[in-house]
Amino acid sequence: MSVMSSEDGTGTAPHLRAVSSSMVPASHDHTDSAAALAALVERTARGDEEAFSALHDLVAGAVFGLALRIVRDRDLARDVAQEALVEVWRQAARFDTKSGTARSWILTITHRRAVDRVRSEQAHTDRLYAHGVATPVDHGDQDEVIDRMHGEWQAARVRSGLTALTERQREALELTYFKGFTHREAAAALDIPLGTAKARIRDGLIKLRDALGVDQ
Amino acid sequence: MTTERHGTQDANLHSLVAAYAIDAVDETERRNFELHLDDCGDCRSELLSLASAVEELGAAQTAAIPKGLKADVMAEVARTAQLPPVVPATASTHAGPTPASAPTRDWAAASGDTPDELASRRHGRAHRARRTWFAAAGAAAAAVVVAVVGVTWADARAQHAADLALEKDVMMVTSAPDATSMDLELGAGHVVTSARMESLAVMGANAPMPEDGMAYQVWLVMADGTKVAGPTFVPHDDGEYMAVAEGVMTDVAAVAVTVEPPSGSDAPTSEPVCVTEMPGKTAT
Repeated sequence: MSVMSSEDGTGTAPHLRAVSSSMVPASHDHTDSAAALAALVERTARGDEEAFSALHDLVAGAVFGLALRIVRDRDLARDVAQEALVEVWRQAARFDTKSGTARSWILTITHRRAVDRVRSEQAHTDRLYAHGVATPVDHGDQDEVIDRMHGEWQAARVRSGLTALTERQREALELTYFKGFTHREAAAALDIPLGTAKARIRDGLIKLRDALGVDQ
Repeated sequence: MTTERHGTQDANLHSLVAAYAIDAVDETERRNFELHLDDCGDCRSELLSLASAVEELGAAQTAAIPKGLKADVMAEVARTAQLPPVVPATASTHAGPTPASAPTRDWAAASGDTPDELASRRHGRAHRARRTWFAAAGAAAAAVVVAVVGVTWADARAQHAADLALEKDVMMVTSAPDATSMDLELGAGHVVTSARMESLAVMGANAPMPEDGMAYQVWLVMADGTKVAGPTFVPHDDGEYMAVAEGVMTDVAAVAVTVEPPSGSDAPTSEPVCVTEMPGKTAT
């Protein structure tokens, strides 16, 4: 189990070999849930279906919500969520605490799969046409999805983070992260140079990180 | 065998960190960036520093899950095998006598098979093997002429006929009495060789689509490191693929797949997405 080695630099995830997640001492919510989730991934990596079931309950809402936000169709989102969750099971042994939290890893798998689905469903030219230069952000769909949200406080945090961004940075993140555009496609849709598109994505993420006060 | 990853290309790759962090890159960029990431501590730490923001962005979309999702997930999990951990690369000696086992394991860690492999791999790269062209040591069988049968899926009208012809070729290889099957880490794939038929077939499912307008190309890597161009192919919509190449199998040390222009290249222009070494690769 070298991928879960204890020399990880996070300092937040105790090395819980063969220790049940219920034994994680309670103090700070966020840190604890991250550690509990990491422990569940580790147990899942050993084929523990019970651990995976608990893991599922912790992340399935976020997984499905993210998939839905990107593919915008409930049936499709259900497929994507199911595939992503099974991937988490399949790849649990390859989760590496040094590269971020378990939730981050799970959402990355989900995002990637959702984006792949969007990209394969529509030719990119269709998307460029549908979301062309003059229609940067579709607030209607965004609101519709937000209505269904459970984690309002999280959403509020992110929205407040997003308000810290310039309209242009927000637009760049909307097109790429939530609509599945590549940076190249975003640059074309927004009619800006490639370097500018990359910079807006980067600056947007940095500003979002700082606004959320989540220093890594 | 030459892998130039310095200078301006590196500068370009540095600037891709944030786009990579949110999957706003195409397949080729992703592959190149992941190779770059192995060598670039700056990019690794920047990627890590952005992870929290990306995580919050993703987690903020939480919604009530559909009825029955969990039951379906658990049922599928019960019949889904788990991948082993990515272990540090070891010298690629696989003297094992079982050709059907998977000597490609280390390559699996380094090559792009499914998108999800890649997605997860970015979190496990500390243990990742560097991807390089396989080059067999030992006596070189230099002057080998390999005839290659290429099949592209581009022409829709010829598709059916091509399918039938290809399937026939594949059948010839796979049903040969000396057919040997090995894993091919492109989706869920395998490569079947037959020395008797002087052919090999690659086939599989769940292959990711190559970048728009690009195709996969098969390469036969000879014992002396020469790479002989094989057929190009593009997976079907469902990710299934098939291709057949002809050659003297005893001289083939490995089979590799790269992403190339659809017309194919005379020499590979990108790093392999997967490499399968041939067992008993003794030159004659």
